[in-house]
Amino acid sequence: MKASFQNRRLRLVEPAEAPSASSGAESVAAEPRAEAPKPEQSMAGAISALPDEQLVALGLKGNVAAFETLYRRHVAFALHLAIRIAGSNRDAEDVVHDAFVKAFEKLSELSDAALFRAWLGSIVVHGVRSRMRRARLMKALGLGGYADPVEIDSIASHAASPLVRAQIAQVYALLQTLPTDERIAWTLRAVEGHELETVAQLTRCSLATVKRRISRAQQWLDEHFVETGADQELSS
Amino acid sequence: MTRRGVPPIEPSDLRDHADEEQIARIWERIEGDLHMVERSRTPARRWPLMVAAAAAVAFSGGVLSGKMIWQLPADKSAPSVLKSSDEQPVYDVLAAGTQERTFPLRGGGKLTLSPGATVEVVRSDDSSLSLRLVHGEASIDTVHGKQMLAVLAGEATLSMPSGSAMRVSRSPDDTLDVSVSDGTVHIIAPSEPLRSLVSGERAVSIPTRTQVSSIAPTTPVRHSQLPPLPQTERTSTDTSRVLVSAAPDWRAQSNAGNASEALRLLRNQPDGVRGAIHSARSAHELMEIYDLVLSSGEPAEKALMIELLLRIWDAFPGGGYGQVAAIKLTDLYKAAGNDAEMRKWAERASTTKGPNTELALCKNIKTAHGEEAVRLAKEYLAKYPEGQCKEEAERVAGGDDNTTDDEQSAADAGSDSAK
Repeated sequence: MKASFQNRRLRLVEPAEAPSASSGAESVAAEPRAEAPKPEQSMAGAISALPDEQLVALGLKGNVAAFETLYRRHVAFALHLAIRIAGSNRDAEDVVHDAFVKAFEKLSELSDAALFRAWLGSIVVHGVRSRMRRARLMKALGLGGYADPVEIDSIASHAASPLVRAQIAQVYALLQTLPTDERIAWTLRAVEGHELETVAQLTRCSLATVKRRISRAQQWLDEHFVETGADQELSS
Repeated sequence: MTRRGVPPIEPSDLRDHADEEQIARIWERIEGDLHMVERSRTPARRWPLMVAAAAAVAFSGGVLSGKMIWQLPADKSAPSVLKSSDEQPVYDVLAAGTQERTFPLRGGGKLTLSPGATVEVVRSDDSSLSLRLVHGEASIDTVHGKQMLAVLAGEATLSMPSGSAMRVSRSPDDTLDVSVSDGTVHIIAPSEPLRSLVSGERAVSIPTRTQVSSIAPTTPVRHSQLPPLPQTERTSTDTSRVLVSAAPDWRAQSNAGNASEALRLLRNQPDGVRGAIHSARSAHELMEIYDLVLSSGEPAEKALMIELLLRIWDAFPGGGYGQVAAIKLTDLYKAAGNDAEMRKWAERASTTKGPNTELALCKNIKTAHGEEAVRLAKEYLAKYPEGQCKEEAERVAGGDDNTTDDEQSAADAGSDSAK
């Protein structure tokens, strides 16, 4: 039943040098630079060891295995980005799917193939931003029943202490009241931990604009964030 | 409370979303779209042909216009998803993304996903199709199809014989909303009696998860409290009974949602409920009687319910009804403590063709013991590696003796008997 489909599918083992995308603080520019594949490596292993630049070149020739390797290498990064900016994982799957499809469709437009990760990130950010703005517009028009709820379980680790989870929940609740662009810039900087240059790259705007947005958001959050009694006990 | 500024958020306090299941699901969708991307990527030398084709399409489009224009994107985007053949791809996950998408079904008919909806294909063969509604809204039309279809959502199962059409949506609170526009849809939901909807009917807030507060019957069902259970042979040979025609009044009341009045009328007609059971002319009519009897909540009616289900099994097993009856008989005999009958019906349910085979096999594992349970568990895992009973099957296949009662079955049966 799946003969044709599976013939074209080249299932890969885990990438030999999979970057630890689980860490939100990593740089989007950090790409794995693998050595040339050894002869004894399988085709799948060889492809999974290739750097993004070569995978993009293979992808341009329609190599599905290269697409899959790019996907598996960067999907965690994309998912985290989508979820942590939006504050929930409600639409994250769709955003990430749309972003990868768009990236693969427009691969020929990527000027520097080595920057695939950053480029993908900017597509994800743009996708989340569009959805957030659309939701706000719908709400303003009275067509949206409710604001996007913050799902604390989607953002905070279960291992985080109740205090930290409460703090994160409060931060995200406050972020919801900020303009979309400020919220995104602040989240990329303070939650995802990206450098300012990277935030500018991801949001497709100038460094000065990014600094201004983050600064405004930070000031507003500092003014409105309220410490609980537990915070005081811990800090004293 | 004081203000001190936002504390830094440590990466270790953030959740890691590298969930392999979700990653695989997204890839399935992307992979499906990649084929379309490749098809649409044509060499430059073909452009004159493309222009000519576009002109022809534009001309045809002008003639057809209207509805056809709207249907084109959906048909184009999903030409062969479930309508598989050896040459065509089959996808495991179907999602609408930001646009409504329509997928042809293998045995005829179609599946339409509203924007944002995601469905996983659990199983597909010539005669049946099982889908898992992950989230969102789906419309399924098998009016011109040949496949029986089951939609799984959590612990709930909707089954529809071919020739039916329904719309089902899974809401954020994890309940289902079902509207039937053609044919019949059977609903098996946790903590709820089995029920069927027919054309024009709708059910809302169907639970997909067992609600702890409602699964435990207030009074445990004990074998000694139950009347003697009829045996298959006795009932199935009871065909010499003079049949009486079921009065239509009870059905009118039942359709109007007045269960108590419908049951009263049913009991007052010649030969009472038993007469209606033996004069029923369809499985659907019997299911309606079943629901009414169940709603009475009288333990004494359990014998009638078994009689009714046996009549479905004997007289109207087609369209998946036989399997549903076998599943319910398994539960009833289990609640009654009749192990031999329970095993027999569990076995029949899992070997009968129908859209609930996974559920039936699952129950079969839970009712079996020893090597038989291990064999069934392995069979289940082979057929449904990501099925609803995966954990239970793995436990049994791993050698754990299947001595603990299946809480869900007990709850189902308990709630049945409590009603």
